Amino acid sequence: MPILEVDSLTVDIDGEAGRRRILDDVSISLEAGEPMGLVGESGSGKSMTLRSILGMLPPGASVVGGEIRFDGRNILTSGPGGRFDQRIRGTGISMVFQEPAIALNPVMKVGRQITDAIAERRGLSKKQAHDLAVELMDSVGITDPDRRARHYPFQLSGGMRQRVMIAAALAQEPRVLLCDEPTTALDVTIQAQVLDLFRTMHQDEGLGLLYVTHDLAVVAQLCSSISVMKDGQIVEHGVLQEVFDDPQEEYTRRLLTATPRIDEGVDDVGLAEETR
Amino acid sequence: MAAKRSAASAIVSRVFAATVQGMPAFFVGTLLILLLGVNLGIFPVGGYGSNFGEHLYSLVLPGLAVALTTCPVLIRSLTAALNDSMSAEYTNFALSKGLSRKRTVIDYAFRNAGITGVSILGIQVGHLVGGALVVENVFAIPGVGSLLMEAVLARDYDVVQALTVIFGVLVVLVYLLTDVVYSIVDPRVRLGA
Ligand SMILES: Nc1ncnc2c1ncn2[C@@H]1O[C@H](COP(=O)(O)OP(=O)(O)OP(=O)(O)O)[C@@H](O)[C@H]1O
Ligand SMILES: [Mg+2]
Repeated sequence: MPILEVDSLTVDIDGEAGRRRILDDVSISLEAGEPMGLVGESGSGKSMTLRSILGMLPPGASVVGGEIRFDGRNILTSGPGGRFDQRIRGTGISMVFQEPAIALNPVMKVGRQITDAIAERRGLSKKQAHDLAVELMDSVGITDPDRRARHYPFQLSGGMRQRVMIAAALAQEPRVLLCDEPTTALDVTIQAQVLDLFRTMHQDEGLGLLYVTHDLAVVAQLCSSISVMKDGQIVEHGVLQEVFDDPQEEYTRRLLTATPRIDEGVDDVGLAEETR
Repeated sequence: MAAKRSAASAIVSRVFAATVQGMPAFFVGTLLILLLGVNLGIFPVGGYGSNFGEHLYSLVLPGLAVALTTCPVLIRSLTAALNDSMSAEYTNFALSKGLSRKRTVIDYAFRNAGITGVSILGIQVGHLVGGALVVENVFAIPGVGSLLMEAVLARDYDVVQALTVIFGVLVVLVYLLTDVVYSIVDPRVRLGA
């Protein structure tokens, strides 16, 4: 049985221009230990899909249809009073937010932000929480983690903040990790280290990974399956190799050819042809 | 249930804030004297008493008048700041880690909303240094405010000048204190962002 199933999820949002559908019949099925890539153009609904799974849609947005099952239980209604089940947050599902610049608390030291939730759950002492934070920061490639843990977000670079986000999400020891472009601000060597970490997590510890990115090369390195979104819908889904070799949708084909490849000249890049 | 209760209290506090904000302090003071002093006779209608206990007792109504007229701006700006920080991304992040609602509100929402609160409170207390003067007169308290009034009416320039300097220094001290507190609650100020 899949650990996470998004089943025909439909989400509307009320705006000035009236009601708009931002997710339309979205279905995703993720096995434990499966790393799935979620790609699609900007505004296609990737972040909204992840937010729905954590019950954190922006004001005005609401789920109008479908189910989200975690461990077979529909978390949209299994909370107290038939509402969203917030208990899955953290230990069940955690998330690396897309914009660490606004997602980290500006007035709290980053070390504490990484482990405050787990320290609360387990009753860790300040010292234990700090040590755990340092260990996690080290594992995501932050040098001098002991000193960095005592820094505030504004004292860190964009790439470091991003890794703090990752460390905080991993600290919860979730069974499913939602990643919203977690490595966009990282240079290639750090990115490789973080991807290695994700790989160990899903291979050794059975972490389910739903990985949003624009970078198909990262999907190729990390994921075993891929879903492609467009205009709030999943337009293509399948095993990575099959989709890469034989994309069924015109849109996926364009996406694949728009990615420059090292063994081709710049002139062969699809995007360049299109814009010519 | 909780949401309904907080919606109701939000309306009450907003109506209260809007009502009181339109009233000048001397008017609120007079109302209080009429209601709690004259009609109910719980508090003295004015004066300052003759010992420490009586002093404090005489300061209740003036204090209330000042508080009532000062708090609307605070209420409004704090509500707005808290609404902002409750829907901020860092609050979502806190909840996504499975942090309890209580800790999230205290460590993430309040901490950030408090920064706005401190700066507004500072400005308001600064205003109070001179602004409480009218209220002092309404309650016939023999304080610096009434002294200044008398000095102005008697064209006693020396006293007016001295008091002006004292008020000025006090305001500067209050603002200084605000900045100190501000740098304590906001690391970006303290460490220079
Ligand atoms: N806070 C919001 N209020 C209203 N509409 C929103 C909000 N956030 C996103 N949307 C809309 O929802 C749709 C899906 O947005 P979403 O953020 O999921 O895109 P995305 O695929 O994550 O894009 P990107 O790759 O740029 O992050 C878009 O049409 C966007 O305009
Ligand atoms: Mg997004």
